Amino acid sequence: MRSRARGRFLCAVAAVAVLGILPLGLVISRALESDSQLLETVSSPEAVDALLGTLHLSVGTTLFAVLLGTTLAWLTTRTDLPWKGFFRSTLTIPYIIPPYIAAVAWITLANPSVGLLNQLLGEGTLDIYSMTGLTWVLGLSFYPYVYLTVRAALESADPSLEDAARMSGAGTWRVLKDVALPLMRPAMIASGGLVFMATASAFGAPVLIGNAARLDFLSTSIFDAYASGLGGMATASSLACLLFVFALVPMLLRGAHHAVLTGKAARPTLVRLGRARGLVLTAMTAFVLIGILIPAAAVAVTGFLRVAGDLSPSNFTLENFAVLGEPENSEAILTSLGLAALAATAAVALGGLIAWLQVKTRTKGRHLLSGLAALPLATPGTVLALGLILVWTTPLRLTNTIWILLIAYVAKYVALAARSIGEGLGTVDDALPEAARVSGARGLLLLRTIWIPLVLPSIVAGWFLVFMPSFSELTMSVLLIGPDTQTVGTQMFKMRDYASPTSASVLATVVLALVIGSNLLLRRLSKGRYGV
Amino acid sequence: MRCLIAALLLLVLPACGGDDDAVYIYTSVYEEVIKEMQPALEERFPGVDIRWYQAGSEIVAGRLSAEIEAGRTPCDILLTSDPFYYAQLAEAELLLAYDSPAARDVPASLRHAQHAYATVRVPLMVIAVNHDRVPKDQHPTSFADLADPRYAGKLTMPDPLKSGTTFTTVAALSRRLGWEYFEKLRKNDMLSAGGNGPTLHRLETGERPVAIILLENLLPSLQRGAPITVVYPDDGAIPVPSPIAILKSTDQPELAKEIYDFFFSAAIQDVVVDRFMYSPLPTYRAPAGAKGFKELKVYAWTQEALSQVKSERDAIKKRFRAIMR
Repeated sequence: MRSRARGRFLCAVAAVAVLGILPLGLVISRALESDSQLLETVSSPEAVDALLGTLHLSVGTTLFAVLLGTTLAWLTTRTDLPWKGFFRSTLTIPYIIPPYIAAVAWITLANPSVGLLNQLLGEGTLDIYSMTGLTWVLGLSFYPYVYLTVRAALESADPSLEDAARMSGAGTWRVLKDVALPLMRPAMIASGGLVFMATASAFGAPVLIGNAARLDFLSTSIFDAYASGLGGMATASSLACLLFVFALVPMLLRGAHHAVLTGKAARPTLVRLGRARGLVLTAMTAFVLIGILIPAAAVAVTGFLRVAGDLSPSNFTLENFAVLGEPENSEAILTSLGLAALAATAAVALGGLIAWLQVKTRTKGRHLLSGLAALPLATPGTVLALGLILVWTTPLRLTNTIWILLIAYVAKYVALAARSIGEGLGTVDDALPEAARVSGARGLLLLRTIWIPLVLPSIVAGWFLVFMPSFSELTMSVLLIGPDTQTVGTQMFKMRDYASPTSASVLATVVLALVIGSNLLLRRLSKGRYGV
Repeated sequence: MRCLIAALLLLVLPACGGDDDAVYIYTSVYEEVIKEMQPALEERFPGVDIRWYQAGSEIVAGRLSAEIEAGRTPCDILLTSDPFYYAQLAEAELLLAYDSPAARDVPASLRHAQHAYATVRVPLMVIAVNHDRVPKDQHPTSFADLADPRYAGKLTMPDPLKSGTTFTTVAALSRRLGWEYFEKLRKNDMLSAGGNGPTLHRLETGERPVAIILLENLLPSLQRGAPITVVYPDDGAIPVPSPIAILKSTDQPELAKEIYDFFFSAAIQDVVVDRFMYSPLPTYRAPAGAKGFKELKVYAWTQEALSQVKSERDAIKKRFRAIMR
């Protein structure tokens, strides 16, 4: 038994190393190939500008998302706000919408001269083409990380602490500041770190908005260096090292991580909002409208316009939807569906193995394995993609094939599957498989009769958690696609950036429908345990 | 374990097949144009698997250069619109010399002297105005006019780091009007981003009502009823001689040559003109709705200008980027 676990462990280590660790190593060694090149690149005024841009954007977005996410989490768990169920399910929608679609939506709504909102408010009121605009878009895309984490923390935290404080005469504000806030702090810090990494790594929204705002970021500069031939792989890998180090900062800062107090999920005493209740409700509704529903509608509407920007009824048409019948678009959708399904399946297999080793064995090095498997998730997609290009050129050439995309998705998201399955495995008592083994069940039979049925919901959840981001992935795909493949993300990006923004909106509408649909399906299948 | 091996096999096996039989054309022409060329190609070359990689010329160039650096490119034929990139490739001896009989009617000034490439279509860069947002009497009449402060906040153009026609335009205008011209455009808050498609989008929506943009994007938009006026600039529209070339590394040189020839035939040249580009063949009609090429005032490319821009390609891009940021 022991040695078999060891063998599986070694397989998993090998897979994780080839998928995620080797690419990183090669990017770093490529950048270090010539010290002078590295120094020259990272100290050039363009690189410094890009670094400062990324820093500015990441800090701003993190602060905005933490403030927003925490406030919303507290309001929907600890107060007597009405329609909580509605808010709890709507507020998480941005989690599954790719930020580049949000960017397209906000460009439509708030470009300074003819943005739809500016047509109401007066020309030039809102300017999405600015650092503030980009922070707004990314903050609205990433706050659900904070919202979900803090909400979970509040729900598992013992409410009697707050009750005790209240009974000792502390007012709402004191309770919030001295009891609830410290309870939420670890979750705020952890999820804030995630937002920071996600922002530093983001590519689509920074290109679409940043280009027009004349802003440069590390991720977009890496793309320009590699894809537009300005400096090529040498410059790109030097900048990639810089971005990698930068994205790791929050991981290092998270050293001070103290345990969240857990207690029984008792019903907390709800804070009465009193007279503010109507006001808060109005504000929340306005937020859901402005932050989520109107942008989604803006994307969809653009797809129906014959001449862009003209909202008169005679200008509405279904003609644009003909682009879905064009082979390059339908193929892109099919490619992405197929790749995402394959990636999800492979990630569940590998992630399941990692989770099993982690949770159900005492194999030496299992924690290290989980850590290594999570590294690609924390690595900016641009950096990982460059590394994969370096790995898969010789001797085995997979660059320019769709298989390199598959590898990229599995490498990037395997940790999501591992985490989900690990949680599922953790709930299975060892007595059950033990009993089956005593009764003579072995190998596949054991897997089929005990493990899979018990862990199935978390396997399904893990599958969807990999499927959804893979389906709409852009950052890595845009660097990795071969000459005769497009994915949904790259096709949309190409149409938006090069050929036809209107067709891009049509495709975006389809993507929105698909991700929201599969999320609903996931929720239905897992009876509300998974999905957002 | 078995799953893992199966997964690895699944990854490796298809890659061994490869697509060495396919002919890859790397191009910047729009998907709609490809779709009209493809049936003609299929009819002329039955059974040949022709595949397209389509992106902005400069993105295509970036990919091709990266692939060549990595040791191998699937690209057999290049069909983009940055003639200076072809000149660089020819200088590096990466293009197959082919004195095509089909291309002999193309004026000598539009062909490479050693037959490494020849112009197969000529997109034209002009000015366009959204007349709902800029009244007629305020329309510019020349590229030079755009430097006038009254166009502050109204200007847009594509990004020469993506679009080859735009790169060519930047090269021409910087020679004719100097880099101070672009500094003035920058003062006017010129927005240069993406390809010609998004530029048209900004023009149609009125987000930026005055654009430097390709004629081939404007004419279909006019047909859809967009409120746009085309301005053929007095100081000369910029023709972009867009070549075709065969990569020396192709494993099917004879087939590639036949395809090369075919691009100068009526079947393809008709598509070129139908899709609002000028044909390099002097006898061809102008695109519907466009002025005849002979009636146009155009920027005239000299050999000296061509060879100078070739050697300064990266420098021009960097300078433009530095001014526009």
